[in-house]
Amino acid sequence: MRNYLSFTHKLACSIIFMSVSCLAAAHGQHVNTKPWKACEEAIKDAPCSYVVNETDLYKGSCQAMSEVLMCVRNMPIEKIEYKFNTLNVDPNFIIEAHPHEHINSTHSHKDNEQAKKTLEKVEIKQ
Amino acid sequence: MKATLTIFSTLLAISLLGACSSDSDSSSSEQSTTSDTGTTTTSDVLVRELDPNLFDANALSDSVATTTCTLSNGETSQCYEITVAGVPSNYTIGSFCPRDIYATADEVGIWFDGSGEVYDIDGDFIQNLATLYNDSNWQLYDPVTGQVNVTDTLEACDGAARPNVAAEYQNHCVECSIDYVNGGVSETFLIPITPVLASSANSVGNGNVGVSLNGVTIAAPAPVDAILGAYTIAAFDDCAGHINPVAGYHYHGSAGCSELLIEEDGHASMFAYALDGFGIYGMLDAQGNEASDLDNCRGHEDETRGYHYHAASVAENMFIGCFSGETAQ
Repeated sequence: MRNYLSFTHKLACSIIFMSVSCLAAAHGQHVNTKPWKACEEAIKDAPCSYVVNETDLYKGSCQAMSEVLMCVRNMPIEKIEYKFNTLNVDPNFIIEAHPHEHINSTHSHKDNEQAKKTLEKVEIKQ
Repeated sequence: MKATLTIFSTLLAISLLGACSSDSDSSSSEQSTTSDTGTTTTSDVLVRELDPNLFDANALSDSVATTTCTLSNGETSQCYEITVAGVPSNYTIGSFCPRDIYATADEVGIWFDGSGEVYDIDGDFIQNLATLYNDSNWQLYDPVTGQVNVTDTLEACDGAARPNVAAEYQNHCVECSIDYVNGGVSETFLIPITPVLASSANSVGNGNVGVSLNGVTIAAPAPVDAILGAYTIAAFDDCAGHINPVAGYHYHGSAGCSELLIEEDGHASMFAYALDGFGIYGMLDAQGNEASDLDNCRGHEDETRGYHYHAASVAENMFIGCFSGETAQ
């Protein structure tokens, strides 16, 4: 009888414990925790990245922390900025390629449109 | 059935409460002999012996002993038994939660959820939680009186400073007094005297990461999903440490409070040893730059320090990514 009560007690505790834990975990899914989200569908050591404040790019790899993969940054934080492709276009040209300045520009409108197409945003995986 | 359930429950409890062990699924790399200067060279990586003299006075509550230990790769080695005092030797534990929504930043601690931000837990932060986490269920204060719900008793601390927060302590700022753990939880760690590089990195898991030179355990990332999921803020002091009834005072981030050793060459300061015996240094060097050649564990090698880690920023809720070396079992 004593053993039975002990077993029953453990069973009840386990069920309560698991229920509370699962509730906490369920709530947790609503929390925006970027390092975990970045590795949700990844495997260990897979490259990952996430963005902070829309300006800072964190790049690293997925590592197991508390039984869950999270993105561990191992590169210095990068500032997100517009980059130019391999056409080697002068960035100042793009900045100055404003319609009101076409009159004084030595470049044609067609040149400006071509240059704008070279403007690419850094690829970001969130 | 009974045995299975008991084992399952035990494993689940350990995983949620944070056991002091790490995953170990690899074997060590080859090692060569150690010189008189405490330097060991593997086939291609320089490692340095752990130096117990680097710990601050009063950081350890017992003398350091040498013992035989089994590493995570199954090999036998020599380890130091290091018993940390469990309270910082170089400062007084700071403030945590605000008492009302008028509290200012200098009166309170900080919060970070790993997403790259560090917040002062001042009145504005408390009032803005529903917006910050996009959930109207956040209500940590009484809108009439402005008083913040704080776990200011041992019972409340015990019910809230855990992954499975008791229902009555939801929407609380969680803090515990060091007095609840008799002034600090002293804990003994086995750390390899000469670090042994693993053939593949070992996961941090949910255990501890290492010990700081001022006598505090440095822990795995705080379980922010569980904390925030229960509408709680597990407040840290300005040194990124907080207290729970099991682990006592421990760190979840590197805030610079333990960086006791200044490096003459402008390298970041060392503040801890990881459980695999490698040193952990601050994130930035004296010029404010971060190394660009860190491996997945956030470690790299130089001629002066051998292989060592650099902690992530406090906002990232972690120190290192994994163990490059074998830990003691």
